[in-house]
Amino acid sequence: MDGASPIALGHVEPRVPARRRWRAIAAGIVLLAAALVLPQLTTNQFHLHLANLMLLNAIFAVSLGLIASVGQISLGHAAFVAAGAYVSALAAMNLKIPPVFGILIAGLVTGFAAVLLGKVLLRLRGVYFVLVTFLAGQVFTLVALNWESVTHGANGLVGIPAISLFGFPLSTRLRFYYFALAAFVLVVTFVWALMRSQYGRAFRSIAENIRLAESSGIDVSHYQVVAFALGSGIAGATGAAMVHYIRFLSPDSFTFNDSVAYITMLVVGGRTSLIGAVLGALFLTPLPEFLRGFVGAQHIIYGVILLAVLLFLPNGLVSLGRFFVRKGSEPAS
Amino acid sequence: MTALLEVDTVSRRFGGLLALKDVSFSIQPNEIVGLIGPNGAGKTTCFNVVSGVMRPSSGAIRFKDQDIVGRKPSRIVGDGLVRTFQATTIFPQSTVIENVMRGAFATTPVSMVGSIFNTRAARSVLAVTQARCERLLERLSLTPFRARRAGELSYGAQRRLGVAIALAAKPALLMLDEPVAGLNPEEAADFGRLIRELHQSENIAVLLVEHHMRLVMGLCHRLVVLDHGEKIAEGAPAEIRANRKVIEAYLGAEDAA
Repeated sequence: MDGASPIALGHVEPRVPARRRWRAIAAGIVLLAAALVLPQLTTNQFHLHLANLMLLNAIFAVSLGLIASVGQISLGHAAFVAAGAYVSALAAMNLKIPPVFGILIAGLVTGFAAVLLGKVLLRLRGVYFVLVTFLAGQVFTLVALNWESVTHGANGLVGIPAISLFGFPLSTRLRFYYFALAAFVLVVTFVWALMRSQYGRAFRSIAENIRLAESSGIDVSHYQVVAFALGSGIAGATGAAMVHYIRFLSPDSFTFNDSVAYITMLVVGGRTSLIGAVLGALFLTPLPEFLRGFVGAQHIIYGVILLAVLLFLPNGLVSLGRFFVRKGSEPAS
Repeated sequence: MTALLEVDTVSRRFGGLLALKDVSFSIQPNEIVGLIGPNGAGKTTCFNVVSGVMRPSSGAIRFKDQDIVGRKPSRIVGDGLVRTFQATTIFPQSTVIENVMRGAFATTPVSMVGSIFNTRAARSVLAVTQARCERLLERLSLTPFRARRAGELSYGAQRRLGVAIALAAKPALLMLDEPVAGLNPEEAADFGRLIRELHQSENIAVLLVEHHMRLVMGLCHRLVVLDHGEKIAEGAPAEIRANRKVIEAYLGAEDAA
């Protein structure tokens, strides 16, 4: 399911040793092949649905990780997901805009909204930014709930059309799976390239030492807005894709709880790496389902697993992999 | 010769406190100037105002004959005025070479989009920057640590790295905020020699805030003395040493009691 090449976002050395690089590419190809073939082997619709949610959540977590890579944590990420979903759903239902374009429009609208909001909000740092993004998210939910003439309020939007590619509707779970997989690979590749570029260098500099970044000639407010807009735009477009899959949207679809869930995925997987965000989503999305058997105790077990990960792997699940890679191919420095 | 930096009757007020009062001085290209004064004299405020971290309440600051008041610090760096900080001078989690590459951010003429696609052009520009950064490491005796995390370096090496990061931005004027604070006498002397060498070989002007008097007296061509936010003296080290007002500011006036 994971098509990413395992290069950490944290501290990219320009020259990855060739052998490690080939190993990474080979692993990526194997995982991608598995992700392409596996769904053909099952007819279990629930498993396919879960796979789709895992891919979508992975994109949400990666896009939040992009924002977090400049050192800011947004507690309103789900509001951008919801905003994108509303834009594309309303465009499709009221204006008959094909969902494929609706998704693009949703990405642009939410990205642009994030530019405007970011110019104001990103002056705040740390806990103040977290609080204000939390409030912005709550305000969005209230607007969606009360602007009934457009959003149909708590009743929600029903009968949202499915995505159709060249007249081929992605109306089954399996078909949407390949769309989600393509989107996932696209987003992960884009974010990977971005983080490897001078943008990534600027983002990490700002996260690590904001004053020194500014005095190294890195325009802190510009790059923070860039990261916030890209992360929010990706979230908006993906929210739009998701709503054409779920085909129902209400103010409850994406709430504060989802914002917290994305942060949890990021933290459990590993905040500073692309792979971490993906791992967190792939691990946490199906976890409640595996715990269905323990009726009554499932939430407790879920909590214990989260605590155990944070206690024993404070840098997230990704540190498991890194531990082996370090041991295998890097001499002690 | 026109001045590289001109600070023209600059004041800075914090509420009721006048931290800087009509301070004027200038720095010529190829000059090392020391900014000294007792604690609380306004040296750091002066530094922050000149480097754009704070706006002056009034007055003008011209760098290369251009008014830089109100410019973002990141833009001022691009113009060639680069500063270091007292404490937070490095990116502790990153490798030493990556630290310097970040310092060179503003002077790496790479297309940002090109660097996303990792085009041949972008790679070659970054390779040139990297070669320049490697030379800087060599220059500051940091090459053996190039792949180490910066936070693991000794205190002295971290200070040198701070200077390397600043130099990577190709400064015309380098502003050093207490560069030898916390170093032992031997390291401090080495650091002084290093600054003079860099000043000569890279042809850069230096503005230095420092408490270490022996270093300041030996290194600077000219000193500007602040006390209570006002400039009380300016001149060659020997003159300053004999200046009555300066002695009073540091030691208190004889008849003060």
